[in-house]
Amino acid sequence: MVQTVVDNRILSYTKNIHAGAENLDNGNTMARVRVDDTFLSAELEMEVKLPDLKIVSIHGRIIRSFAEECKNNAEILQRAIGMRVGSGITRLVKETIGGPNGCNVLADMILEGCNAVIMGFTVDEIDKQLAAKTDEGYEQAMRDMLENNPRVASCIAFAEGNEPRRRLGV
Amino acid sequence: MMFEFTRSKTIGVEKREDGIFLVHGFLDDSVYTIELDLGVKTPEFTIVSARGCMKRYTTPECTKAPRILDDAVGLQTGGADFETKIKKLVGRGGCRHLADLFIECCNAVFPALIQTQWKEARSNGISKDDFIKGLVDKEPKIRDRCITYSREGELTERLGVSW
Repeated sequence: MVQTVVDNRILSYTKNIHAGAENLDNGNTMARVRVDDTFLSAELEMEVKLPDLKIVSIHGRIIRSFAEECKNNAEILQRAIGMRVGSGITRLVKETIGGPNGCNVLADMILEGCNAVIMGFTVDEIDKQLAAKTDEGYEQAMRDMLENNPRVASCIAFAEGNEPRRRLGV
Repeated sequence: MMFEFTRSKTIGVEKREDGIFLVHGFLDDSVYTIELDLGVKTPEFTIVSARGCMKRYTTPECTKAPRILDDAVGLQTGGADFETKIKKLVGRGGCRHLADLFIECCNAVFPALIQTQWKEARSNGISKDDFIKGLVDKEPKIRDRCITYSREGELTERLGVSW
């Protein structure tokens, strides 16, 4: 039967986030983040110095917002200069950049950028692990990953006593 | 220059007649592709359904991660410790990238609710400023949420709102 009546399923709200990290010629890493949702559009770029992972420069702007006043908040980003992308960064950014005296959108964007920088370091490693041409090679790569990775119990793949650990004798 | 890493997240929220918001989330990055569908009942903001799928991943174990979503049904979104709770439950028990998308989807429900209210207000001829005033009056969680909606904020000063 041909459907003649369709429920109103127009989206109430949409959000698109894009984050990327790239290596610069000066040896640092640049993270760029863009957010577009129903109420707001914002962009941000931040340079992270290697190897100490400190945020050395950060710029951004709120291009579109429901309340016009939000567009004046970009200066808040400068509070992130000197922060180290590592343990404790989530709480530090949420308390310093976000919260009642800050902007939660910009705080989340910084954290998205930090995640892109950190994940940038793991892509090569994962790429090598997944490039094994044989089952034996893959099993060895899995064994190495489980043995050498300190993230025990950080997710289901690294859970203690899980099936791959038992099978591979890790 | 080439991206060392890139991640895109797309969230869409639709409102059903029964007050349930359906949230569709999609994460696609250099390493993972993850899909998530959540149902959140308002006004309690209770998670009534959660289904996910790991489409691209790093280990065969990753595909089992969405099973943990059953344990998230019944939780209320929002609140000071909600993100920590989800990072522990869905992240450590399943996958931290799935938890990231889960939190993003949950956080989308409140703005979706506001959008539906704004749409109705606008069709009734209410101005944006009056809508914001009403919002600050009836939604305590908007107050002091950020510098714009703070007690001494530019916006609240301009609109003459106080609490």
